[in-house]
Amino acid sequence: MDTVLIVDDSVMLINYLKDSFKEYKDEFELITANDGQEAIEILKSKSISLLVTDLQMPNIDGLGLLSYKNEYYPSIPCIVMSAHGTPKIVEAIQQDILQFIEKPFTAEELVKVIISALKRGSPDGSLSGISIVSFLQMVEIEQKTCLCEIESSDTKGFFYFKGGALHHAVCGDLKGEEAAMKLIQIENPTINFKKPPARKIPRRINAELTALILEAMRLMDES
Amino acid sequence: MDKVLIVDDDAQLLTIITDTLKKYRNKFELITAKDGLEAIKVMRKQPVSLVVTDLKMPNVNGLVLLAYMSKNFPTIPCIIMTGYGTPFLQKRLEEEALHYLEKPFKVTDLARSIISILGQEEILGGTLNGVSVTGFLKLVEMEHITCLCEISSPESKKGYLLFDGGVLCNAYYGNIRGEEAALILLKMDDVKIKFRKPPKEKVYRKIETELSDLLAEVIRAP
Repeated sequence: MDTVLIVDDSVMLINYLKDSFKEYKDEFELITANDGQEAIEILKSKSISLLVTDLQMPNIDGLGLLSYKNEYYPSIPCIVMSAHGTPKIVEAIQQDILQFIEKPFTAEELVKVIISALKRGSPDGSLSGISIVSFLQMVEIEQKTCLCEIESSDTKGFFYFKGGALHHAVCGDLKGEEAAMKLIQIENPTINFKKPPARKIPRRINAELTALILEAMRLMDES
Repeated sequence: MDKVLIVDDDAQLLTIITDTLKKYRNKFELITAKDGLEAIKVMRKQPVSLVVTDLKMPNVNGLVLLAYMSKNFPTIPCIIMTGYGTPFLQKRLEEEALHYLEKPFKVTDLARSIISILGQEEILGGTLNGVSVTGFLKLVEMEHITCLCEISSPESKKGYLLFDGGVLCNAYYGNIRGEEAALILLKMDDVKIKFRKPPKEKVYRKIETELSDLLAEVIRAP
């Protein structure tokens, strides 16, 4: 049977979903966790068919959990429950591996999304997991301040976000927009979220994230 | 049908509550508001039987809403839900004669409280559980309320205090009437108080002693 892991720090939401999903117990087994740390422990010990997670949580938050999942369990599809809207750009393949449901939702609405995701199963080519583009947009909608480290076999760099706005990027010798464009185009990188350093980081990027992403995607199509 | 107003800035929580309580739709109607300001607008427009509110909210918060209600809608009972339960706050809330649910709570517990409060409510509205009689009667006096208060406790039979414009006029306990009955009722512990509609006939003042003097006597008694 399929196993669905739902992660949210709201005990009332978890209880409500547990209660409402009883009638679907023949369709999937429900496991719940209150934060990213607990979810990671469960991912390590059980085979999970679908991960449903909130983004704002204590300890390890949703983005931390998703980047962990991306590295170790890239083929598990995800549903992100967000109270702050959904990304503007959703790539074709990402629709299969990563979906969004906006809060508030009823249990009935969520179960529809879960069941259709389970029916679809792991999409082809899902080994690459969630893309950088999706991660960057989630940082934006959650208005986070963070350092997002990107690493692949031959390249390393980082994005710096302040309150959800992209302020800076560094990739090798490149800085600012140029570095951001290069990083967005990296395939299958490892993504790590870190607390930004205490020192002030100057703003080197003023372009909208969406504009940069579209431009990077255009360049990728050309090459 | 009774209308229950739920006030919380957490849209997901409102959805959880309305979705879970929809099975009670033949018992009461739910209205939701996302902050105190919206709640006040709702109460001005239509009669509400019960308010269930969060305390921490933007715009008009829960405490301001409660203050507004005690001035403008003193008889509408209220259940407070908060994630910031401290023993001090809880004590204050109980002194203020309010029902209290600490988050996270079971929505079925909320349903039980709503149904029990609505069941007790008479035309005048309002029921106050777990309050000291003293604190509650002071409120009746202060607000110049005309009502028949039914006082009950697990150990004794029911009794009544009759108020006219905030003045204690008469008391009934079994066959006992007047001041003697009032003193018995005021001494009772662990009481439940309900508002009842006062009798239609003219009320004669059978108790001459001021409420505060009676209360002082109760406190002095061993």
